[in-house]
Amino acid sequence: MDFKVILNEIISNVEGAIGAGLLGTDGIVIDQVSLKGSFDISDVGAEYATIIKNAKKASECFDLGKTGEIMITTEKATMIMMTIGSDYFVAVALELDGNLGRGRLEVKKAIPKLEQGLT
Amino acid sequence: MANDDSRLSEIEEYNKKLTNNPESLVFVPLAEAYRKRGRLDEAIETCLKGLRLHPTYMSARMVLGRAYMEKAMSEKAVVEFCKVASADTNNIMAHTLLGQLYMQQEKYANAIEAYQKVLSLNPEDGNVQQKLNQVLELARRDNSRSQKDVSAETEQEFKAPNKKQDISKAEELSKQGDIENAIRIYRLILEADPGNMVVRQRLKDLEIKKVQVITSQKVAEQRIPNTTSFYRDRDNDKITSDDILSVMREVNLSEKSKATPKGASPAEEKPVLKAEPPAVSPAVLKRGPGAPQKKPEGAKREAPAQGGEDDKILRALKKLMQTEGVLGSMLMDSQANVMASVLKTKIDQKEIAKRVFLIFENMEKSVQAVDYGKEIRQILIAGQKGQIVFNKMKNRILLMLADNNINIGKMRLAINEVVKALR
Repeated sequence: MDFKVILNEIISNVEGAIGAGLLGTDGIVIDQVSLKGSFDISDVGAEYATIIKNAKKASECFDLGKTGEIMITTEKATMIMMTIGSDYFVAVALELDGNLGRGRLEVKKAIPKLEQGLT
Repeated sequence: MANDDSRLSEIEEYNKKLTNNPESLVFVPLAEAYRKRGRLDEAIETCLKGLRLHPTYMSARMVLGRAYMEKAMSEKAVVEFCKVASADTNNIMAHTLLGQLYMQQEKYANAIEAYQKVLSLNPEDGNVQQKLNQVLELARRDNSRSQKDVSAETEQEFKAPNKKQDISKAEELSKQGDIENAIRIYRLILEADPGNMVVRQRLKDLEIKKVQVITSQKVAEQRIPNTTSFYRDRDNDKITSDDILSVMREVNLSEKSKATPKGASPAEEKPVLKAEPPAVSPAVLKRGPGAPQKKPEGAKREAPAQGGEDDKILRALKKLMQTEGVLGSMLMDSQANVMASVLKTKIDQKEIAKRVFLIFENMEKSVQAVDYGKEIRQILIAGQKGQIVFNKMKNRILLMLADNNINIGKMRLAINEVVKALR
């Protein structure tokens, strides 16, 4: 399974997408694609895993159940992260004026395909 | 034989995958399969090739180190394991293998250090404890060979039961968290036996630990006033999330039922406004029929203008509660003090605020590290049972809890309205 093809499908269908990555919750990057050089997660996978870990803590704190999605907006970009099972997640970065709704939809569509390749 | 055959097909399969996608991480299981089959040169070559593309992939370095080790290239193996150990200081396997290699190389001080590190991570590892004893014995013999003037008396003293008892006692104290007394005993042992490397190392570790504990306490106290009890009681006095959600739902229903009758005045509504001057016990202004009439001390200290702002905040939060699916909200200041909330008073709001604040801070640090920006504006976390939004407003954090009946778009819209109103 070529994860790059699936990740590319996501970013090419979303206006304002910067890049997408598939990671393990242990911080290991499995694959990534980028439309701009600014998206390179190869060395910072662990930080993404920390974000997921903290989101899970918040979920536990408020009994939200299993964390499915995290969305973070900064002054620079918006990041969508969705979990795939308990061991993996996909992260997509968008420009602030990017199509967030479309981004979420494309990630949701991609998850079953990614899941298939990961099992 | 069957194993060999399956490993061969495994190798073919991995090779195929790697040919299809040369950037794939499959090179690691491929190299491991080569190594297990004794094809060490191919294992090394596969790892080196893969590491050119993924230099930070530590699992690959572990396989490479093991292959070097089996090929008796111990110097190169040490280099790889050192890289892993420095990237991941808690990697027990890397430290264990380093200990083994140093022992082979007769670098006993390094071996002792490596095994001690393993034991500090896993004190119950009897196998490593045994190896440490072996290397200590070897080090002692080596030492006595090279230093003829080492007195037999010192060695005798090391073996003496009272010394062993003292070390055990210090270890026990250290495990119990009594760092001060453990340090005191180790110092006494060292005074009598200055050449005792194990005790010296343990003393050093404990002194570092002591400094770390003091520093982290200071940092926590500076960041969040009065957090000591929060950290101490966190496990014993855990707020169950069921409590929070059920209470929030209760409040929400109560809010909505009160909003229905005509002519119901805002004063009858249930939310609680908290005016919390920093480092002073929180003053609670209850607004409702059953609320005490006299104002608490903290409220008296408020400047007249402050009251106006509090009303504004409260109005905004109450408005947020009218949105379908919203279960509760809270506004915190930069010190994790609760400024206002629509959570029921029986919930320890201060504790929740502190937890939320720490989570937000940690996430912001990670976002900065991945170069997504300097400041988080909004975090949304969606779970199976509900959703939570943190919204940063200058130095305040607005938290909103919702069920899954509200979609993300409406939630963002609702929270943006509050932000606008509070601006």
